Amino acid sequence: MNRIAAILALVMLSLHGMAADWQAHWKKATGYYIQKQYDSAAWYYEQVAALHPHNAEVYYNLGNTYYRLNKIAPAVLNYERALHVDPGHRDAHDNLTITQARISHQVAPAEDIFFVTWWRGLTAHTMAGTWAAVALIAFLMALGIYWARRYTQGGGRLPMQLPGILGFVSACAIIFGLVAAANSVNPRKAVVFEQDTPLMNAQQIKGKPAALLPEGTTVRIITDGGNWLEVALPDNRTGWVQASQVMKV
Amino acid sequence: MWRCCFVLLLLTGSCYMVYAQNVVFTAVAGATKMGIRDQVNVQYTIRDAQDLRTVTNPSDADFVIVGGPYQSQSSNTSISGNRVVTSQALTLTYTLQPRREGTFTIPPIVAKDGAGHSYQSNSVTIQVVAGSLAQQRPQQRGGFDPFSDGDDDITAMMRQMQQMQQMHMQQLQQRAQAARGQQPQQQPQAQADADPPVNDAEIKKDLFIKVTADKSKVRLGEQVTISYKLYSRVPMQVSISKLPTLNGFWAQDFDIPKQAKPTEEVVNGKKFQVFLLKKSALFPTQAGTLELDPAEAKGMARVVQQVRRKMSDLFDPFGAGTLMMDDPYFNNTYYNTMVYKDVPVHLQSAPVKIEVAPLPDKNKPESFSGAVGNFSITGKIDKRTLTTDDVATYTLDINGNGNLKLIEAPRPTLPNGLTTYDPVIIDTITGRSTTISGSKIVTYVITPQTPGDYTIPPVTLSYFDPQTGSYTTVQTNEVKLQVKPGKNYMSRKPDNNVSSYKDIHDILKQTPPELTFDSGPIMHKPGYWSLYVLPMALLAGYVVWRRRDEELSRDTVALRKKRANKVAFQRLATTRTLLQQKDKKPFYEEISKAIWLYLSDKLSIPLSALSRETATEAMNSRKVPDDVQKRLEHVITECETSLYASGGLRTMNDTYEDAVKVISDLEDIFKA
Repeated sequence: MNRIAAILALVMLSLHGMAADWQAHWKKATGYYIQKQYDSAAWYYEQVAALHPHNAEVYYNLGNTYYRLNKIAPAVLNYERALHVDPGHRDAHDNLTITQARISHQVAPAEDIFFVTWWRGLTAHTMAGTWAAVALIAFLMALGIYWARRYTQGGGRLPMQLPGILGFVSACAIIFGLVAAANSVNPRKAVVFEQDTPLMNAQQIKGKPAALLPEGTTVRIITDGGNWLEVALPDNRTGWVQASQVMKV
Repeated sequence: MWRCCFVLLLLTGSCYMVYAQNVVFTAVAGATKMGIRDQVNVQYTIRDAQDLRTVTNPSDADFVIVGGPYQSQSSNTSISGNRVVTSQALTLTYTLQPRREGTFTIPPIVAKDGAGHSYQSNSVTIQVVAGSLAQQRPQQRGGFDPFSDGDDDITAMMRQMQQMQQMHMQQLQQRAQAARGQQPQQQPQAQADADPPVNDAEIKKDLFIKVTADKSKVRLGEQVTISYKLYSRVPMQVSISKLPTLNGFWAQDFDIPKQAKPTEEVVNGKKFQVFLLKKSALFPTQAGTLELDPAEAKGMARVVQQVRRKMSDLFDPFGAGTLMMDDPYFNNTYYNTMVYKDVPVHLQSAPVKIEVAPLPDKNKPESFSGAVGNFSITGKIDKRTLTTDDVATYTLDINGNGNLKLIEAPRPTLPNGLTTYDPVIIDTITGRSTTISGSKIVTYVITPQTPGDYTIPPVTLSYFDPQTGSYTTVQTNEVKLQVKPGKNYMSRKPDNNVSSYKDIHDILKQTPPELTFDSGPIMHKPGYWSLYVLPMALLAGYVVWRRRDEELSRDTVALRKKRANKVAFQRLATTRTLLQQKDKKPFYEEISKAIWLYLSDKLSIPLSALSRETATEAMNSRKVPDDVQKRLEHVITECETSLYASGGLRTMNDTYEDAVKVISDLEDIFKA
């Protein structure tokens, strides 16, 4: 833990030069926003957001600014980022819904099958810490019980299967935790930035697009193929879009 | 024997076809004297030749073979006595035209059969004079044989005989068929031969259609004007029967007056009347060399002709060209007259090639969508303010000249909140003078969905101007639009919690105390995994330590056994001396005493309280295995019984061994 603290301290030090700046930027941006000079506000908020802080408010404010500028796609992108940092951010959630309502020909989200929903819930990036703890506790318990059974007088009475069950629980928790951790590092979401982005059936521009995606649509990234991304639409249709036409959350 | 053969020969001969074996090959000319403009038929008849393989053509040194050889076959079957005699004749007819005046001999022609025999015909001599003798010939003819042209007596007789044959009708049919079959190819020739002025080529010098294009090299999409003109020096009635298929072009016709007034044009020193049939503007839609295939016209031309009638032509089944001259007037006239004649004509223009160069890629604007010409664009919206219940009509008007129809309708990029559907496109061609001009009106119906102030950005149109050879971009003005909520406006918000909000939540105004940075998920840190590795290592270390300890204690078992034995030996030291002295009674007493003392010591039971029962109970609580207890009991019982019973030395020894073993076992158990 000391090492992590040291790394954090280093990062903080390197950012220290900007630290003063970001507060100034933030104040200016907020001032411009109040004066309805949204262009300038967006620029200053972007300066803060460029530091990639783990503060949902930065993205939330930026999203609001873009909404005021009638730029749907950047607004959606920033709300998605805010929600990624803080999934419980109620305001960001509401504003995202309002913004998405302004997308013309919005792709209606489809209901997922229950176990897909379960899986999503279990591997949500917020669960990463929980799973890490569960996995570790189950593992330690399994070790403890094994030891007790082998080497203590009263331990023999503990059920024989218990360490195995706990080990299995721990392994599952590790898998969930790793997926959730991967989700937290890479949200695997993207927002369509160009109006009528063609959704192709293959990684080529030729042919008839399967659909035209309106600007501001949030898509899930299935495969990241460099110039092309395989994405799933909110209604679970899949296809390929050019990476240049979307922005990853 | 000979007789038999003869009879056989007779029998078979009765039904055996005997072919006459004398081959006759004759050549007969239709006339011996002819005009240089006339034609003569020469008939070669070869009779009774079998398996004929080749027949040479008559020499064309002095005559041109203009028709033939027309083949006809005849056979003659006669029965004389018991013999059937079949005679076959093959007739080849050539139509010849002299090359010059004079007296010529057509040399014999040679026929060869499969057996290698060659037969020669006779030669024919014909005198050719100037002019034409055709009109005299009908008078010389008998006229009773319409199928022969001036045969001599022999052939005439032969033909008469043939007419009596059974196959006569078939013959006629065959010949008629042959004549009909050859008619199409022969017709133009016959026509040309019979009436030299009515020559296709001649007519086409005086009457033709021409397709002209004003440019032969154009850019893709640039206008080419093509005109279909009819040039004529003779009276005629001609209409276009086939227009070129304009593949690769978009064509737009120019207006031309219905009753075209001819203009005059001089071509090759001859004055022609020129009728404009059709004028079109073509806009190539693909690059490359495009060919306009020929235009065709059909009709009748009136030709002035000098007529000289030949009666024979009427009856010449091969000179089918006469079919068009069945006017009785001509048949009865033997004078040269100037006559108008209607000749069917079929005119075809020469194909026109147009080279289409692609548009330059240099400076090609992004908004270019194929417009070539000169255009302007205006954009209009019918309402500036409207509610979400209304629709607005946004009209783009592209005006100018060029390939209007080929322009892809430009699409305005509508801001979010406004939607539109596919536009209505109306192309109107207004000008058809020298260039095609008009307007393309693209109408978009815009439906606002969210209230607000919108700006429809300018719509750009890029076109290639062939005059300047460069691209030009024009654009509309931007249009501002104010949308107010209508009566039926319901903001589309799927989330119920949000539907109460008209607007987004406000921003967080206060500056957050500090920015935090995500250090990544805990599972991606080595510290976390060390929490697994460390206890694991601890446990593993403990297990290893325990195992080593066990191994060590396994070594002490042997040691303990030794010690236990030692104890047993000490306890039974006196008994051993008694055993050596073979003193039976004290030996058993001593053993019994040693065991009870040992048990009293180990089980911590005073000797006074020690009995078999208490000892067993104590031993059970100390988990002394049953077999050891049994052995112990056995030894004790033996000592008691042997005190009074007689026993050998061997039994004493055994008892001693048993006692040692039992004590050392017990010692081992109690020490563990």
